[in-house]
Amino acid sequence: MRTRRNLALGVLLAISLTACLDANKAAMQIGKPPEDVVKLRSLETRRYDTLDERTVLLASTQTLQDLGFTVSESAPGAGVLVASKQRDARETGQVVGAIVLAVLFGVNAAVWDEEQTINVTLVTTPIANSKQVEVRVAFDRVIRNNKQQHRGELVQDAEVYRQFFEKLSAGVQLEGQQV
Amino acid sequence: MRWRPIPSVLMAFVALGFLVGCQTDSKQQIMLTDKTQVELRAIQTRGFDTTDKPLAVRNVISTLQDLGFVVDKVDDTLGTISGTKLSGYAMRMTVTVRPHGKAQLAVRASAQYNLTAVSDPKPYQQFFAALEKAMFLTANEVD
Repeated sequence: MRTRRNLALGVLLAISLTACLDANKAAMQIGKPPEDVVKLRSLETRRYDTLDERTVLLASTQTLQDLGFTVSESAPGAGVLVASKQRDARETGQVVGAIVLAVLFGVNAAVWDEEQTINVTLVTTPIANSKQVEVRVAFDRVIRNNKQQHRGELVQDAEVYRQFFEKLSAGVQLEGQQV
Repeated sequence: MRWRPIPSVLMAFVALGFLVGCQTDSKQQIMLTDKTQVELRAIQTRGFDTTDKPLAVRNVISTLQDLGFVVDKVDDTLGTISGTKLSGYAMRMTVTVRPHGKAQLAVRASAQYNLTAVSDPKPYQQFFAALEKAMFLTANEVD
């Protein structure tokens, strides 16, 4: 009898919770641009003094290959390249923490990141009335832990983008010399 | 709080095993390479004495198929071919074909094996040996 009452209460609670969750409101929150969108855009963008968008795209594929990415999509007409790579996501600190938790609370308490898929989208745009091509690149990653749970994040570290463009600039120069 | 000596000790051993070769920040993997750009390009690139890019793209596709890859994506404008080989492991590979000088095509292959970038010369030598046969041309080192 008691079980049945608990179950009914549970169902009621679930219904009331569903009513609270407004998908449109959630979407509005999620769809909002990040707070520091201007800063992010400047991190992600560089301009190159060339009229040849194709050369920039070719140099980009080479830089992505340098970094071990596999090209998963490309649309040269629209100046788009999409690539990804799968890598180890285990971190020493996290694993040590997992050991401590496992010792204290048992094996089930231990959670650590196992692997990650790093995605990159690169878009080239010729700048109107100038002899420049703009490159915008964005990295994100999906991390899977040992419990098979996933979480995603946009990479917003200035250092990552700085290093990428350093490599790409050398590539654009090289490619430009060859053609 | 329950003390479980056996699983904990086991767990510690397993975790210690994981610690070997572990990193402190997994985000570093985004830019991480185990060889320099110049070394990698030398290992992964070969020049072929032809300017027939569409034919080279077709030959790369058939070579990948011969090697057991399923082709995922081809862009004949940029000369980009990607494929995956699943055989108890996952090997993903991107091959790019682009003009090199006036009379050559540069073909570059890059691959990952499960969660690791392939930077050993041997697998690439094997790939280019197979591609040479398909193209009826010699694969030259590219500077």
